[in-house]
Amino acid sequence: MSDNGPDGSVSTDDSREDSSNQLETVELHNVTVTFSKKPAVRNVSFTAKRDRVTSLIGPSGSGKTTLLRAINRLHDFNKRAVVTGQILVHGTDAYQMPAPVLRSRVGMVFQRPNPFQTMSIYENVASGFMLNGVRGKAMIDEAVEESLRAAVLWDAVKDRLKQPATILSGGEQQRLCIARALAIKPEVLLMDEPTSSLDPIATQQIEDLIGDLKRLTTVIIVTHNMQQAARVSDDCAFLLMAEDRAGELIEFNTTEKIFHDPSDPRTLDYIAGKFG
Amino acid sequence: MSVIVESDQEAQARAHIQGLIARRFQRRRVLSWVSLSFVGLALLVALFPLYSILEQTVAIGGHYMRLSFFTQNELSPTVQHPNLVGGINNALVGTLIIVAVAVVLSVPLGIVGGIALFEFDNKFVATMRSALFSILAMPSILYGLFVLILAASFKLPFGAYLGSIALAILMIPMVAIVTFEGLGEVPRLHVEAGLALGAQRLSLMRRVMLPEARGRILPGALLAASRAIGETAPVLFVIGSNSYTSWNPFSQVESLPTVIYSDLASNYPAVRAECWAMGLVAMTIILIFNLAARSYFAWSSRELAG
Repeated sequence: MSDNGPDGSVSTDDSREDSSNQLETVELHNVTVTFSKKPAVRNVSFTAKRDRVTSLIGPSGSGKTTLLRAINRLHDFNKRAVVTGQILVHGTDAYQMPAPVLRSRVGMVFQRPNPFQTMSIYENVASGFMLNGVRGKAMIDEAVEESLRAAVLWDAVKDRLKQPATILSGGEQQRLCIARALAIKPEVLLMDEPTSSLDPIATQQIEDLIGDLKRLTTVIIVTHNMQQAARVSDDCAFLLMAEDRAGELIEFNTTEKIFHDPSDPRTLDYIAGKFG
Repeated sequence: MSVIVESDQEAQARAHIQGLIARRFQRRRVLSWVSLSFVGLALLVALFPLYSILEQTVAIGGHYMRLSFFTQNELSPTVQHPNLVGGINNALVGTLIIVAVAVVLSVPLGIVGGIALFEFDNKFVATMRSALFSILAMPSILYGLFVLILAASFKLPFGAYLGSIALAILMIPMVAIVTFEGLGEVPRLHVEAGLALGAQRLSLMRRVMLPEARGRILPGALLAASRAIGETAPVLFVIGSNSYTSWNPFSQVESLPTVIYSDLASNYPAVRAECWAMGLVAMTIILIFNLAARSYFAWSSRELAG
């Protein structure tokens, strides 16, 4: 019931499913992140599959964002942070390849829209190429249009691509950041509470978009909003702080199972709003 | 009934607190007035010398403000013609040449130095960083001595370029520090956006961090240049002297502050009075640099804020 999920296109081609199951996933094996020797998340293992949206939920401090940032190695810049365990991105160990290469394959959208202030709308979307020293106007033009269309922003900005990104509204800026991440065709897209600074209408638009994004890339989303997790995700990881304040994975399952028939009583309590 | 009793207590407590605040209010108002008056008085005391210098400079120097003063070179008065002082073209051009070359030398080096301070996080760089801050407090005549010794050791002829080197050495730490601070003000979120796209430090620096820090770095460089314009000691020993205008950085030149320095010792009142005029010119140039720095900073913060 849960393996093929609601996505009919996957189940029509079983052979492709089988071969891709191994490779086109993000696998976490016993991932622990410590800051100054104090664990922030401990021993987390789950697999985020292609064509599905995986959400990380849990109360504040349960290590959702910490875990997400371990996947694209943003903790590398913090000398006090140590990541142990194994993270496989489409079969390759994330910590065995150069970090910039990994990050170009694992896109990220942040809590607040963060377009580059000194760049135009076009330059922002093209920045993944520019920052990696890739040239080729025709290819970049095409990628910019394609990813702006994927982020449902093309029609709104196609006549003002040369204008600064800062003229856009918050919701538009966040979609611009999604387009920027998509332009270099990442295999995985990490979203860290992408709607937490947006109004309800902009939030709705981003949520609608996330449903389409999973056709392009594996999506892993952190959200503090359980309704959002229920609306947008296919699989769900529930994290909770242990007594020593380290986040632990309580339960990983399909979103439907987590929200309707969780196996751990703590998940049920959280879903029911008894704490958090 | 218990509800009414509780709200009675509540009303009493409120009346008590409000009474306390009202009684304190008068005292606080007087105290506030007294302290503000004191601050205002301190401001007047601080501004008075500044005002009288400015007033003197404009009152005496203002008489010289005509075109010929800027286009003529300096002349030497004689007993027969004690008011024959000429103009300041040679000193003005000398100053501009010295400072322009100093800017060309110091701004790129200062920016690269600031990037290094920001990027390399180790004991050596941390030491360099605090050393740079303390070097700013060094008496500027030491820069002049250093370049004088440099010229003597390598048998270099005096000229504007030596003054530029002295001023560049003075400006590099200032530019490096504003670069370092400007880079530190680029929001973490923008840096991470670049990193998350796979950018390496160099391209992130070039495409994201330096453009976003530009609004801090360029005004800082302008302010450093405006400080260099007024510096006498670093250039005093090494630029030589020249009563004619020269645009060649390798020729000997005069500069406004050094001419002021030497003319103040003159026996002719007209020559001494002319110093105020040169002071006024130098002050005006520095004011223009400062205004340019401020307006560029304001413009770029508006740009960044959208």
